[in-house]
Amino acid sequence: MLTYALKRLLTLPLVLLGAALLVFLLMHLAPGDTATALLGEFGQGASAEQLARLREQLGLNDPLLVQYGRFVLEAVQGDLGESLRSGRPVLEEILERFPYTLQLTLVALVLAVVVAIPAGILAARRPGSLWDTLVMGTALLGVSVPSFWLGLMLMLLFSLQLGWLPASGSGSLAHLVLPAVTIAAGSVAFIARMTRASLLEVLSQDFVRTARAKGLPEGRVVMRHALRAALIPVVTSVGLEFGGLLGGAVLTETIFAWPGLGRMTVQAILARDIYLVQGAVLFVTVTFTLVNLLTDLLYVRLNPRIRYD
Amino acid sequence: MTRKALLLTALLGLATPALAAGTITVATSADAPTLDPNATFNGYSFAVTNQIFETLLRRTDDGIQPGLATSWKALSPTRWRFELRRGVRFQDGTPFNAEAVKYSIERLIDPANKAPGAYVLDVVKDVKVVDADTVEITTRYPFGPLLAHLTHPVTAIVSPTAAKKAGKNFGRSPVGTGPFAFDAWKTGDQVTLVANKNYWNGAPKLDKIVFRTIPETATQVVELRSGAVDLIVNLPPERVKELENNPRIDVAKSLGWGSTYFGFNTQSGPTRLPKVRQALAAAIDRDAIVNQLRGGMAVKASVPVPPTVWGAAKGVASPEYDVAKAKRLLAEAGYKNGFSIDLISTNTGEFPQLAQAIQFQLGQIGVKVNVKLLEYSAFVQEVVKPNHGLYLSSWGTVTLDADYALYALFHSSEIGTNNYALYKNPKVDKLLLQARRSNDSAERQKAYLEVQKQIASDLPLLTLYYPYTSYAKSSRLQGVEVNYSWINMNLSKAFIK
Repeated sequence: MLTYALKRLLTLPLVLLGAALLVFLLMHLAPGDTATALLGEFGQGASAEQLARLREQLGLNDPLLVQYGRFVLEAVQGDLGESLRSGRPVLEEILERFPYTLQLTLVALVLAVVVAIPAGILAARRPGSLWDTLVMGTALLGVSVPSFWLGLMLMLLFSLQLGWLPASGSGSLAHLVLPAVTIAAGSVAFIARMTRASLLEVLSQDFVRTARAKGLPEGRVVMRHALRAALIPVVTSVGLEFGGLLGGAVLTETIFAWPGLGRMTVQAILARDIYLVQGAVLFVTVTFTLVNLLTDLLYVRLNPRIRYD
Repeated sequence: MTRKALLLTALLGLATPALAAGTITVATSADAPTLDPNATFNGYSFAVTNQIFETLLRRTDDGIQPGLATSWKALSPTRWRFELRRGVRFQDGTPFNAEAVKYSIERLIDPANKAPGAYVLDVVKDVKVVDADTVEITTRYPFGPLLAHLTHPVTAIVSPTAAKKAGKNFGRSPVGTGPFAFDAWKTGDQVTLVANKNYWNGAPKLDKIVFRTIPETATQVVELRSGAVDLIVNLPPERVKELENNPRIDVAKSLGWGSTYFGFNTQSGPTRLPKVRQALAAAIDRDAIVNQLRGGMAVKASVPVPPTVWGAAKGVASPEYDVAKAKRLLAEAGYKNGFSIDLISTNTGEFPQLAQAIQFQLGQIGVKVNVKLLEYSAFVQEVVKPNHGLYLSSWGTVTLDADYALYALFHSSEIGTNNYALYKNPKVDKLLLQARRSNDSAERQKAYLEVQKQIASDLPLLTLYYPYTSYAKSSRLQGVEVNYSWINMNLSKAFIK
């Protein structure tokens, strides 16, 4: 298992190199020019000559290969460059925003798992029952509702009408509630459906029948025997969801003015802040890969039949 | 509040938003990338740096006014002398003097600093300290708009002590002479400023300003209505009606420095013909655009710069809406059955709707318009190409001097950059250069009048309207001034009723 983990970690540089090349090319192939974006709507008025000078100063006139080489060489040494707009080290910018994303993601996912797995189990226990229909109906709604709309509705109700929770910003536990619930809504739906489907499948298998035949109480059969096997695909999906959300839930962060990584990255893309975008993508790639690895390792704990080495 | 709500509030440690103790919260739509005024060209930065820093000169409706300089005169066509305000100190205690002015301007234009705003003062050849309170600026050639350029927020004077000490970090620990001093910054969330009790023009009445980044306007409005935010700047027109009816909220609007244009390619395609341009202009119902699309939050335009700008011409006629005339002109130009043409614009703000309106109105005279909406910097890349068709864009004459708009938009040397219409008229070129190279206000004004008349006749673009700049605030917050743009908030006299 350790060897497996090490092997996987050794492929990480390759993944990063690929991701770096991809984002570098995308940023340079996308229409638009960094110097113009940097000046923005208040910087109209610079002449062609003045713009050219700015481009030269920013190193944007060098051949693409030179720019890419410089970027990789510096990144290897742990230097992701400086943001073109703020002049601050890219890593510093990212590390300031990442804790917010992590906090929001963790709370949202814990919330989602705590609600979704029991709901899925209950639904699977009595398929076709009123409870099942209710859970699955709500789940369908949760998947379908756009986070943008849900976020605004929650805000109007809990902030404006009831005055219970702050509408936006960060700084206290209360600020976390609405954005976490908004993100969780989508995940709850997804995880509950997954749990239900997986458990239903497992419950029809031979070892469950054997357990029942032994006269074990139904609760024990489900909780001790079936659930463990049923949770494997659920763990994968939670892992993927977690990895994905670590890149920042852009819409939710935007509505609730949450200072996370996703919002920062989108703003950086619009402003053609190339080094910040590259840094952010690399960072997200690393976290995503690591989370995936952890998820895979967790399998082994859940299902001893899986062996990686 | 119900008992349950009270309990919840207590449990979650919810801070009750209040205007208590002289603190106000201002919502802005994006983060300030940096608070170093010399190192950025970002509106969200300027909105905050304008509280912390000051410029040598200021612009009001009465023209150029003293700022950190109290008086000025031209010693020669290229040499200006400025007397500085005495007894002013930066927020860190450093005395404000000629050295600080020299340091700040050189900091802005030094190529090593890669400042995007260097272009505003790149005409400056030399800044000389005459004595502690006198400074002389020499330009590379006579430059009429110099004084106007010295009102631009990018030319703010910074504390040399603090800037040298902080180095690259100055953008996170800015020190100026303004009414508010930097206090704290929570990246992506908020910047806090505190009153500068020693401000030379009298300590501000507010104790603290919190600038909060709230990207979504809908959220900003909820926060204003719930009382967590006291001031929203840059309010979109569609939000005005909704907030105007709220008794606890005031909405204010004023004419800013902006103009919105419908432009033509004057060198290729059907619009190279003046008659076609006249026809398209006559097909545009600008009253409908102003009243319906903008909800009255704009003024129908006549010349390319709004009347707030020095040098804006009065009484120059602009094309009237006349569909019959438009059709006739089009037929005369040889396009009886119309033609098909691309229109490019940006995908933000009013532009998507505006593009649709133009598409519809031109459809009535048989011109088929294909709308292409692009993200801002992609739009700029497209519109500077020589083969585009029609475009919609806007311009902020941020120095409030006609040169800043007219030279960039209509001088032929700006083709490939700001002159999207690819407009070339030797007479206009000559007048624009002459006005730029002169320090004689009367002479400049005369040249700009001529230019604007010529533009109205050549019609490289149709100026659609001058948008109002608007803001909404809690009615308890008084004394707020917003000058020409949301980036120019003056909160030094604001107070809570």
